[in-house]
Amino acid sequence: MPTLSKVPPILSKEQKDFMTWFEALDDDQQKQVFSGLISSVSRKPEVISSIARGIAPFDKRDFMAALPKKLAMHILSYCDARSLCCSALVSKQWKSLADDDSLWHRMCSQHINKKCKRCGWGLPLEAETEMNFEDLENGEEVPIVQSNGCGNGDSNSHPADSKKRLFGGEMAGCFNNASTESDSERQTKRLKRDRSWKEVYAERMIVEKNWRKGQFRAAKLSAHTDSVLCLEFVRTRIVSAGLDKTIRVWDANTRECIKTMEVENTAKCLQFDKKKVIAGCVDGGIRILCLCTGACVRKIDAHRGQVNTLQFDDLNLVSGGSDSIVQVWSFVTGRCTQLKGHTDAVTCVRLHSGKVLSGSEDRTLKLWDLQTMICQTTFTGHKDTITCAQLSHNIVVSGSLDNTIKIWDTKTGECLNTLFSHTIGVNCLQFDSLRIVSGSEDGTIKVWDRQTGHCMYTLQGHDQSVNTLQFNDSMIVSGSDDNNIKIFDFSAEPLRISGF
Amino acid sequence: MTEENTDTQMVKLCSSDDREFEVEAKVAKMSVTIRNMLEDLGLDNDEVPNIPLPNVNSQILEMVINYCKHHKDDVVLATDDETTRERALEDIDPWDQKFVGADQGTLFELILAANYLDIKSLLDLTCKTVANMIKGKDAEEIRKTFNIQNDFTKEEEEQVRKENEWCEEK
Repeated sequence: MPTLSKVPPILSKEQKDFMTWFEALDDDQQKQVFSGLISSVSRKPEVISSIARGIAPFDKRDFMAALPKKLAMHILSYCDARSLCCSALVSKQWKSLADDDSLWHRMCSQHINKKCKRCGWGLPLEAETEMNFEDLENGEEVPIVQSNGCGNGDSNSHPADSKKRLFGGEMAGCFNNASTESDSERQTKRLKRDRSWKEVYAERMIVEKNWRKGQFRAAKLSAHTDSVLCLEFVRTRIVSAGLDKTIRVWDANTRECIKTMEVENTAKCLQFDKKKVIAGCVDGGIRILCLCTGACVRKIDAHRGQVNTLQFDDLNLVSGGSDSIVQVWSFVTGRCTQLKGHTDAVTCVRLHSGKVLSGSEDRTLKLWDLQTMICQTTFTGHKDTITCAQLSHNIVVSGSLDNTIKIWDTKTGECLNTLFSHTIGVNCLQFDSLRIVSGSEDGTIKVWDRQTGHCMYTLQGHDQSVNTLQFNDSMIVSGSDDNNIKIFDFSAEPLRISGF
Repeated sequence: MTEENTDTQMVKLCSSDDREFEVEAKVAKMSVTIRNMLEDLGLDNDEVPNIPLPNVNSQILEMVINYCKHHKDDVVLATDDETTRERALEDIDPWDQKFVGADQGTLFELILAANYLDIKSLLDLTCKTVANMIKGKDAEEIRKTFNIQNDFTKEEEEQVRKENEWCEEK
């Protein structure tokens, strides 16, 4: 760093003496002399400006190094991710501050699974559920027991007892009890592991860029010997059902089929957890299969005609059939309630915090309250069969054979947006906080920006109709009439941040 | 004594270089530090309390007082930290912008003073101003702005560059 004494190139004896004298003064004296000097030239603005310009470069502070850490962090807390990254490159001290876990924790909480109000960017959350598949690997069997029939439950009995009644004896052990951990705790744990928050953020950011640019690794599973009708995946485990009357379990990483279960009737819809698969079949029956042995442990005659759709959570199993009826099977009371209102086959049902959404060939969607079992809202506007839908607290998104996707206000039933881009019927869709992914009869999959409703790009991967798809933070898995399952993997290599 | 009376009462603030500033209690009490001191003293109408502030020089104290006078009638929004931070860096009001538009040395001392006097809005303003000086610059420009020596070795710099390149283009 230059000092003032080096500024004048040539000094006379008097000037040198003055400088020596000046440098020997203490801070306060220097200030006084300097003020005096300035006031003595104050009549000449150009001289003042020149002096000011000469002083400015010396009036710089390394705020990060000079301030207490608490204050330096306060400054950095106002910086965006890019500024923090550039700051990390400035010096070792800046790096240690700008890489600080607390800053990046806040960065993560502002961006992951939501759009940041400040920068408009959102980052995808990691895979939804961390399921433990040990049971499957260890080959622990779910005992097969005789069923007791359903619908005569005692509402005062313990939930687990009712589950036993509904699904038969020890099968009750197959149901997850409500978790005691809060969602956010689980989320934090899942994201954090042994990584720093900056590493988490960087990796999520790269995944988000991959999503935005449509950069992925594709893999094909020759899944069934006939059409793939439905699938579900949780982390690396995929379960699919085909027109070939099999349900197959896959490892998404190795792309190997781990298990093949024969079913007597084609399953059109399914859901699984770590012990069981519940499948809805074309004969109107709902079958519960042990994920480990593949054995059918229970069959319920649910609908007249086909079971088109089902979903379950800790409390209820909901199914929709070609008999236009939605049925709610309570694990708590063991009762089955029929929701009637649709005038044609029910094609999709979705459960969400005490509500059921159903879509039908009658071109409407209905939102039902599980407490009252009454239809609260009917969504009208689609011009053809509704094939798929999903709901959140605020919005409902539905796909239809009228080639459109509609976004609705959950509370008012008002259509907020209609998305056009598919040139043929929409068969399946899913949305999360950032995007919508839809599959169509022409074999294409489209990725949409959820907020703008803009179609970001189209994935060509299937030769025939896409019947089913699901996505999480890092991949889309789709099943088609071409008998294949495709995996579009947007994930990124984990990043390591060094510490000096 | 009513709250109103205590607010219009004058207090004397004494800087590190022994200059005294007489201000309304309402202005002075924007500093949590001073407010606590006044509460400890117990206000009495008859005398003007004298508050020594040995960590703040007269030049900075004068600025802080100007700031507090300008903002004394602001409605304090009970926002939590997160929402405050989500506010854009850009929405600093023009008066404030001009106020902190001074040189780095003054800004630096204002941060320390705002911290010592515990005036949250001033601390936020000054820290945001520094954050704005960092924003949009690359590492070399930041070093120039604050006159910082790059103390990474070539290898270290390369490694740090690699681990931060993900944020480059969107």
